Amino acid sequence: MMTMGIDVGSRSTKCVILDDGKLLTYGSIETGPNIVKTAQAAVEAAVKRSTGIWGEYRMELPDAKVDHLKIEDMACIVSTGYGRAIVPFAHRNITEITCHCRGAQWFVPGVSTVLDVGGQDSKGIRIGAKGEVADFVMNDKCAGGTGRFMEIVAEALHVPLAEIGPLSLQSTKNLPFSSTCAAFGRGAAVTMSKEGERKEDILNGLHEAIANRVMALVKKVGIADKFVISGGIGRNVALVKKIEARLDGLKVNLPQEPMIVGAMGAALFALDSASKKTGRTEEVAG
Amino acid sequence: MAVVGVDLGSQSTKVVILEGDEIVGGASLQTGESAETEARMTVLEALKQAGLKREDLTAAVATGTLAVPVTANLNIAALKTRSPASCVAKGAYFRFPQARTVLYVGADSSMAVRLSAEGEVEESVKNERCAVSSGALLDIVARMLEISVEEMGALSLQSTNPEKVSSRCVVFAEGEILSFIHKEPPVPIPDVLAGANQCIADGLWGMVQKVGVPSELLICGGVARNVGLVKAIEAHLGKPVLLPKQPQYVRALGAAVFARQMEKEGVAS
Repeated sequence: MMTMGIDVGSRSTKCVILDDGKLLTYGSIETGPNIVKTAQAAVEAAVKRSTGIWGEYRMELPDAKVDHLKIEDMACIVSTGYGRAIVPFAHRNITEITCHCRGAQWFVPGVSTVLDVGGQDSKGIRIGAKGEVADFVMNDKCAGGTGRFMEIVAEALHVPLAEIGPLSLQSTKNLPFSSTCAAFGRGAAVTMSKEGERKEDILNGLHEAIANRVMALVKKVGIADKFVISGGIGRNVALVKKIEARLDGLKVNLPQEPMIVGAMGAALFALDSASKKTGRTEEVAG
Repeated sequence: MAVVGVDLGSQSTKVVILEGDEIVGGASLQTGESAETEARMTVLEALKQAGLKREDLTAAVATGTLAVPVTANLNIAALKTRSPASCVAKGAYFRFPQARTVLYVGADSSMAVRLSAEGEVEESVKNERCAVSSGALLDIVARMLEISVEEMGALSLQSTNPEKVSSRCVVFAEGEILSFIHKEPPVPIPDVLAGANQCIADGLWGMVQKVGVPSELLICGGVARNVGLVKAIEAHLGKPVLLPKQPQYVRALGAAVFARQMEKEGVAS
C-alpha cells in the first residue's frame, strides 16, 4: 500500500512516497506561482527521482521501478506546508508543525527539540514524551532568521546558495554582518565587499547572525537531547556547525535528507489514515 | 570659488556644486559596481553643467553610505566626510529654514532628524534594523512593475480601494504584493501602489514620532518624489509638508553647504 506526503513550502515543494511505511522515492522542485501545478510537478519529480536544485540524493532508495506511479495509485495523500490547503489531490492537510514533529521522529527516534529553518519561516518545536507537539514557536513575521536572508546575500555576492556554507568555513576574520534585516542584506553585502572584505568573511558574519537569531527562537521552547535540525539550513554545513557550537555540548542530529522531514511526516500520517480504512470498513460518506 | 557636495547613496550618487549661495551644478548617476568611478563621473558631469573645471573646486564634502570607502580614492583637494544626518539637516535648513523635523527617505536608508531654530541637529533616528520604514519596498515594487518612482506616486493617487499590505517585513511584503498582481483578476495597479505607499508611510511615521511630531515637517530623499507617499505622510501629519524641488539632492546640498563653511573658515584662519 502506497501513501504520499507533499510539503508545499514557500520556496520548494517536496514529495515523499512510502510503500507500507518504507521509503520508496522522493523528489522536490521550486515552488512556482501556481500551487496546483507546483504540487503536480513535485509528484512528477518524486516518480522521476529528481531533486531539482538540491543536486544528488542523500538517501538510498530501493531499486524499484517507480516512474509509472500515478496519484491514483496512492491509498492516501496528505499535504502540508504553507500551500497545503490548495493541493487538489490531497485527501487531508495537516499543519507543518505536526508533520515536522512526526517526520523528525522517523529520522531520529527519541527527538526532543526540532529547529526547522526554511525559505520564509523558522520554527522551534518541542516534542513530548509520547511524541506529541508539546510546544512550538514560529517566526514568519521577519525574514531576518530565514533562508531568504541567506539567499539574498548569496545572490548579491554571486555565490551559489549551496556553496555559501563551505565558503564561509574558510573565513579567517571575525567580521560582524552589518545588517539584521534581510531586505538590507544585499546592500550590506555589497558595501562590505566594496570596503574590500572577502566573501568568506562576509558570509561567516552572516552565518553568525542567522545562528544567533534562530537559536534565540528555539530557546523559547527549550533545548534538550536529542536536538534535530531540519529544513534548508540542514544542508548548510557552516550553519549547522555554528548552531552546534551554541548547544552547550549537545550534538546536532541531522536527518540524512533534512529537506523532506515535513513531507515524510505527512506521508506517515497518510499511512495512518489508509491503514485505518483498510483495517475496518468505514462508512462511505454520502 | 566653488565647492562641491557628494552624496554617495547605495543606489545613486548625487553631486551639488555651490558658488556662494547659488546652486550652479547638480548631477546624479546610478551607483554601480565601483562607487568610486561613478562619484568621479558625477562630479565631472556637475562641473560641466556649471561650466567649471576641477581646479575651481576649493572644498569638497562627501556623505552617504559609501562615503568613507570611496572618498579615500577620490583625490579631490580638501575632501572631508560628514555624517548623513548632519548633511540632511544642513541641506533641509538651507532650503527651508522653518523646517523643524526632516524626514529623509532614501533607497534603503531613512532617518528622521529634529532641528533647532538654528538648523542644528537636536535628535535623529535612523532606520537601520528593519527596512519596513525605508524606500526599499517601493524600489522593489517599482522594479516589479517596471515603473519609475514619479509614475508610482501619480498612479497611486488614482487608487479607489488601496490593497492593504499585511506583512511588516519588506521581504515578505514583496511576496504579498507579487500575489496581488497574480491574483485572478489582478488587483488594479493603483490599488497595489497605494497599499505599498501606505505600508511604508506607516513605518516612516513611527520614526517621525520618535523625534517628536513637528510643527513643520520637510520630506526629502529620492523617495520623496513619490507624491503618493508624500500624501500618505501628510494624512498622518494633518497638514501639508515642506517639499523641496528635486528632493533627492538635499543631502548632497547639505554636504556642499558644509564645504562652503569649511572654505570660509579656511579663509578666515
